Amino acid sequence: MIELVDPRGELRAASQALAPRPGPAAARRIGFLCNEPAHLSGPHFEPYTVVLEGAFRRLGVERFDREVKPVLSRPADEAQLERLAGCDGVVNGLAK
Amino acid sequence: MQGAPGTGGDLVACPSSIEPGEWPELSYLLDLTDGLPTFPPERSVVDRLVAGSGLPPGLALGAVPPSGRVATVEVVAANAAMAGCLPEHLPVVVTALQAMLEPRFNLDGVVATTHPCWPLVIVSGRAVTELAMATAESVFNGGGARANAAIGRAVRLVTWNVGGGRPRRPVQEVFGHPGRFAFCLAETPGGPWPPFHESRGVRAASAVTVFACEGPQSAAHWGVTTTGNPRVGRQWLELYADQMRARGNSNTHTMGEILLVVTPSVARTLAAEGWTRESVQEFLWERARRRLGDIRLTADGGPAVGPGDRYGWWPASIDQTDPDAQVPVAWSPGDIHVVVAGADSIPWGVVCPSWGHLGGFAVTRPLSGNMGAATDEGGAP
Repeated sequence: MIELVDPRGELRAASQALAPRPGPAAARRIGFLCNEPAHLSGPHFEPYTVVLEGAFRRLGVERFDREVKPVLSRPADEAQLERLAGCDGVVNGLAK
Repeated sequence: MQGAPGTGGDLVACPSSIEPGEWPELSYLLDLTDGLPTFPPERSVVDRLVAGSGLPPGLALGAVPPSGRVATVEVVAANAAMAGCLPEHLPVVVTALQAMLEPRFNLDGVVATTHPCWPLVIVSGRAVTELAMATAESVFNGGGARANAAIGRAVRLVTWNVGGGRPRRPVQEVFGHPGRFAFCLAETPGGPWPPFHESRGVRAASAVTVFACEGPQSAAHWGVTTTGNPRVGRQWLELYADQMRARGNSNTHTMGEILLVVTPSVARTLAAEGWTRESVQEFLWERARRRLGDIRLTADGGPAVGPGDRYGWWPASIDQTDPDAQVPVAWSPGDIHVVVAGADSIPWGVVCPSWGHLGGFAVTRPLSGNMGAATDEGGAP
């Protein structure tokens, strides 16, 4: 027999609970978070959100918040996350 | 298998003991390798590797993205054991990981990006000789030396097992990078210029640099007159500059940092012509530029220089309304990294473009222990 050391380190004993999912019918406020500012090669997230906004409005969503990350390779900054914190859901994308 | 502890979570715990022949299949069953076979992380081997690091086994080196699980020295040693490392390799592996975990490197992004970049571990200075690292033929794939391959492999396995990055979960690489299996380069010692790490501001006998980059793109010296040419080195640099400004490189569009590796014979020739590493960097920064009107194109093929075409990440020094503006491939001369390695048989160069302005920027750290005994005070940039 050989004794082993687990190469993954300490495994998590508990997983985090997901944020509540209100469902499309209950959502009143939706956020759009684009991964980077637009340029000629994309992303094309802004026109895509216009399409999504129309669909969400038909479901009863009344308010839309839009944020653009300064650079796609890092998480959104704290101030942006705070501004989106009141949303019932956030759509994050790039559409490149 | 005996005594599998129930540590819970989404992962199945590794059994505490097995029969030796059980390891290969167990490693695949538990997803403990990226596909290549490994050695078992035996307790006795891991303990020897930890001793080689000179650090306590429980010392936390940091949370490894994307999982955020903590890499202790012992856990790093377990992955190094799987890679076939010797105890003297551990300081290099630990130093590389510490460098990769610096925020500037943005390991989270490097691991998960769509781009084919991966952390290249560059060892320079006395450690190259002391660890019997390969620096010549096949240097980008280990050169047949255990140290190169095992160190690069250990870094990979830490990101796989501790970081937990898997294709699509959440790694989004469109094509991937063969260097993800192992990507470690050793600089040829004794060249005409000081060791690479000194150009990075680290004054130490040995150091480790990590830099996320693509695989090497050949810049062979076709079309340059070599016989009786007193300026052959300069013409080689012009050729490298041409390779660096390829239109599909992220550097051409976003700057950032870029790596040039030249063979020892190129370095000697350049030095004989009076070039220092710094003057090479300055020259390349001036020459490795591309006309804006050839970088961004409208639908009809003309220069895209309108207000909506701007790249917001370029510095104000670039006039984005001028199609004839010359755009450098790096933020500054110091962001063009020049390393000497490769076979001494034929003068040659290779260019490794990077992830541009998005991350994976070079981080250099002195090696701890005897191999890294400082020759002067210096910090890691």
